[in-house]
Amino acid sequence: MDFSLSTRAKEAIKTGLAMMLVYGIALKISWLNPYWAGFAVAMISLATIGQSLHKGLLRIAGTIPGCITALIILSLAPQNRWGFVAMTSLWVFFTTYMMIIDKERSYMWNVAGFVSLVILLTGPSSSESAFEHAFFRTVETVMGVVVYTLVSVFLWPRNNAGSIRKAGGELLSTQSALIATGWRLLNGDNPEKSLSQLRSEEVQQIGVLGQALLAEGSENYEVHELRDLWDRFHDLSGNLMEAIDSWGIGLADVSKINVTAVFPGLPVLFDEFDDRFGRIQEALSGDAASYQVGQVKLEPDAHEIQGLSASDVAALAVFRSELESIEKLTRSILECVQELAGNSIALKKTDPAELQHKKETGFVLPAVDLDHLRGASFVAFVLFSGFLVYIYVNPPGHSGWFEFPAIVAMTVAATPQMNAMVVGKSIGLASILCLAVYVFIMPSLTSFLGLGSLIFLLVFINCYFFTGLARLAGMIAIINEISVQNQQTYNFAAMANSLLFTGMAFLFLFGLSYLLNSTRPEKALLKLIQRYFRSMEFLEHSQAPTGSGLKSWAQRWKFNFHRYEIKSIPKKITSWGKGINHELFPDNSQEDVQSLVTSLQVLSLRAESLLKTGKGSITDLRKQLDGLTPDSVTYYRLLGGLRGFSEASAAYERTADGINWTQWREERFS
Amino acid sequence: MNFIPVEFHIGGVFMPPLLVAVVLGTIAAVFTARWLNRVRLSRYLFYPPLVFVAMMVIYTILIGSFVIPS
Repeated sequence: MDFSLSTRAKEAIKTGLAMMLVYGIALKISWLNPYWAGFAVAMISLATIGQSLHKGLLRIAGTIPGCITALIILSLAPQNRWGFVAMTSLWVFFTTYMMIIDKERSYMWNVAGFVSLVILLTGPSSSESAFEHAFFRTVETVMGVVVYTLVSVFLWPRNNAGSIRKAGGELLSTQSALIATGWRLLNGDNPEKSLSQLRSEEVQQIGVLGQALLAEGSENYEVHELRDLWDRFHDLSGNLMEAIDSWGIGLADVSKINVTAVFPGLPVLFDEFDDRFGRIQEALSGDAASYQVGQVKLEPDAHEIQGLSASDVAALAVFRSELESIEKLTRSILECVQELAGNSIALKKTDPAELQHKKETGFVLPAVDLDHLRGASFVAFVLFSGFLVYIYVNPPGHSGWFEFPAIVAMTVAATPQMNAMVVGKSIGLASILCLAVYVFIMPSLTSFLGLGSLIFLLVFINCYFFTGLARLAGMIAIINEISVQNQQTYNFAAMANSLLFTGMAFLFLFGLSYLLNSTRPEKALLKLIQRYFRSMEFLEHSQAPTGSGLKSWAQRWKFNFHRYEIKSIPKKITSWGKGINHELFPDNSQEDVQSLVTSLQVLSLRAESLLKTGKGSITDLRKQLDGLTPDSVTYYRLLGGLRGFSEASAAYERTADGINWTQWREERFS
Repeated sequence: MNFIPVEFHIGGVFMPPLLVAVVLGTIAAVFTARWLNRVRLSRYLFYPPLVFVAMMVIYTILIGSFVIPS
């Protein structure tokens, strides 16, 4: 009989084996808290070697600064509780903020934040063993990463070879299909897939490409060496995605115009796009054939233009400028993949238009994301409140109140849409099951053979039967509740109190999470829409940020902040919208929420492209239009931008009319 | 009414009566909140989360005083 293990079983065996080995090593050489190595294995066990290695390296890179910061805080405020908690809160605020904004090294910042709390936890009662704790935490983390890496290299290895090229090829293929679909729609043909279907595939594929870059870059020397070029390829693909989106939205504006008559070169341009995408695919599959990429100009037929209204000419000006952007980006991508195929490393080329933009705007502080700032403040506040609970109330959990709620709060801050009670339930249930193992099985074990087998079995069951959040909750519960020590003792009261503490800490966190946002997704969505239109109002009516000096600098920053808000809020609404229980609000379906988000995205894109056509607010641009002569290119670009913005506003109004806002606003228990 | 302290234990492990009262009070508050949601009476409340905490406290005091006196 032919017998082969499934991938899931193999992965579960690998994690179970690695967990058993790290406990064995730590116990054999009497290292402090063997479960630290167990946590390292639990957190870095991912599908492929590259992904695990990348996460493992980030864990080590975060552990070291976390330990050093903890020792610095303990040495600066050994007898000053307020200084101690103030410095810790500041560090946690900083690491959480960085964790949210630095997507590539998010895990490193997360580890830097919570490891410092773990080490500091030895400090509030006695700081004498702090260095020992910091040292063993680092050593055991490294050991956990090394052991898991070795297990995954030697036992059923799964690598990411070719995943970047595959993900890149798929993304570019979808982008090619998007352009072809747009062309078919312009010609009145029915496409195989709708633009929105292809767009959602494209968004997923760009995410996959980003992950493949991190994973394959960690295990493949060649990819690591060409990292600059691959990053450029990723950035250009992202820019192309935005350009195609913007062009796709504007297709409706030109649908009643015979665009092929106005731009006779259009068929040639679309043939060129086809050709370029074909060559990009060839280059990605390793064919290094050299090809000189030419520039294709799209010139209008003056005779055809004369018969059109000013509004149509404006729409065509926008259509042409968007196609030119796509042309420029596909050319850059083809050049980039040709360099990759030739394996020659080139420095990043800076777009002259980008340079010009920088020169015009001057230095501007980056826009702050209010939600990120609120998330980081929330974690610092949870830490401070937990510390107060510990020193003034001292309930079961004791010094754990200073550490555990803040660690969970970091996760909540990164994904505020996540329901803290759902996480609490998963961890609570898994903890009760593991407590039963601790009470009924652990005391009867007399050797590492028994303990190792138990650890392997528990981890295998957890990894084989559960995924995602439940798997993580299971791992945390196994490691915490079986509580393996070098000098093993059993204390039911301590474990029961620990379980009680977990429940109380989650309730505490649930209460405090109201500071971050309402726990009702529909309420959070309403707040975001209000914020969106406050920013839009500012961009429409504010005074133009011109001139120099502090006032102007602050104005520019404020202007950029509101531009960032209108760009980022629709994505946040999408995340919150997914959490709405539509059974409670039958008048507003998931499709209604999606249409609302799409209309806001279109409005943002239109506002952004309008603001790019000139200087100042939207009202300023309207005034500028009055002063221009109707035959200039700027006039038509500005008119096209204003037309697109007005139409997007009207489209949003129509969508908003279909939503039952009263139902969402109504108060209810969450 | 019986005001003699009640002791709760599972397998010989004793638990504080207040803990039991809090757990029962929370469960009672959850059911009340669900009922208020179902009959749409919660829409008349100014801030339901605060009402939930108040209900929890009231139920805990009532249960702690009359059902499980500690």
